Amino acid sequence: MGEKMQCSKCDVRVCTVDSSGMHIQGEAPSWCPMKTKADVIKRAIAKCTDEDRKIAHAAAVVESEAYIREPWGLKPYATRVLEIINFAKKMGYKKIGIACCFASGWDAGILTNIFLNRGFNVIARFCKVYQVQNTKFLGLKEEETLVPGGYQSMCNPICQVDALVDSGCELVVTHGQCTGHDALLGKFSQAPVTILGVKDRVLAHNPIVVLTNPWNQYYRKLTRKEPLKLVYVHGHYRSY
Amino acid sequence: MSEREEKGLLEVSCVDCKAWACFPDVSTAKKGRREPPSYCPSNAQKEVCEQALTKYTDKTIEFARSAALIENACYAIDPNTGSAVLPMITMHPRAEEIIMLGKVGTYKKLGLAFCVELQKEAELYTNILENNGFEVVSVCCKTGAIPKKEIGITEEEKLYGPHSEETMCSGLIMAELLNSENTDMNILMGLCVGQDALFFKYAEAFTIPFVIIDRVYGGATMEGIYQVFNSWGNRNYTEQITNGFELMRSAWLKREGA
Repeated sequence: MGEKMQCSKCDVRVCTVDSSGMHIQGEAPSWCPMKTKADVIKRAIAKCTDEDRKIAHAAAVVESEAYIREPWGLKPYATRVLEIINFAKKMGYKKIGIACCFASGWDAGILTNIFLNRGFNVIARFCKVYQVQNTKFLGLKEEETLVPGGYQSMCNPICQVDALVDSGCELVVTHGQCTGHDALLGKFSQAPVTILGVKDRVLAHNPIVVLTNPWNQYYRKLTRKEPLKLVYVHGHYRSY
Repeated sequence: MSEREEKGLLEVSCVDCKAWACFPDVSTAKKGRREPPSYCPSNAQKEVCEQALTKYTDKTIEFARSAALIENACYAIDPNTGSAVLPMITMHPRAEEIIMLGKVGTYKKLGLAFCVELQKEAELYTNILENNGFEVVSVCCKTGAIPKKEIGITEEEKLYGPHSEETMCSGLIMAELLNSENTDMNILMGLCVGQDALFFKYAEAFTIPFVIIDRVYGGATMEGIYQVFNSWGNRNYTEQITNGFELMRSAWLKREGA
């Protein structure tokens, strides 16, 4: 199969168009999946069901409707919340489920109102549903919890999404889930999952700031030469 | 609350709960829990939850355990008591959490699926991940270069207007390409609404969303919720909010348990 795909290091980008909407001309790098994995792409397209086709169509229309076309170029108009609303309308969904972290419960209340205002039926489920204890189910040690000796239930994304789908939700919107829990939710969901927000505890839920301000003091520990050190002290992992 | 009752769409769910039986505050965790309300999923959907717990198999439970460890690792701990410092002090941004999760769970091969518009950021993050000892396979959203008319996009619905040669984004192709590389864990950067649904549907490995696209707020998607009370945030509602302040105040009061 040859070299591995490294689209992030490609500077030709023949697969996309320039700002005038025309194809970019050039020679694709040798690792380009369009050269090395044409069979995988062909099989993937053959796998596409009518449902997927409908989702892809709605996604493309939502994307193009997210901009206002001004004489000087494209002007972004739609926020992510609006995009999700447009998407759900195009797909004809009636009921939206919000899968939300407990810490973002306040946001979920506002979001519920936003969706209701647009005529959807909404239901929210928080991440700690069914109150299973970390220490019993996942086998965490007592000192590894936040309050040793206290009651801490685990984030339970699989129960959360199953409860939502069982209540008749056709689209699951995750909001503010921790790292890893949204992965579990997306993996086991029976309904389409789209993401509204991700949790970033340090950067006010805007994780890309690390990559747009890499020269900043605070994030230099990521861009420095030595890799991060991961240590385990008093039952908790720390990286520095 | 009143807004929902007026529209006749009142369906009580977790946002209406004041008991917080499943999550006692850290400061009160040792005092015991309150009784859950009758609409709590642990009462109303008990069979569903019980059934869902059986889906935690070996690999999944290992992943859930790593995620729980990373979650707890993100708060400052008082060395004297061994419990979290109050009010909580947070430690790690998400970019770092993903690296920690990969190291704790020993996931060596990571797949990175990104939007072409974020290519420079994706390149930087690839370098960061490789520097931390991971093997990274990255794939951009336009891979395959399939023209948009193949899925029935008309000329008027195209982004740059009629007669542009636009290619389509495809979460499905990205997921299948990363599946063919047998990645241990996937990372999403800036996928649009709908494409992330397709990616989640077809990806075999666990998929962690990292950056979410927001065209207006520059990636800070939650601003769309926090700023609905401002004049520039009102677009998320259909009509002008007249009682925005009241709505905000009632939400906060509910949160305080008053």
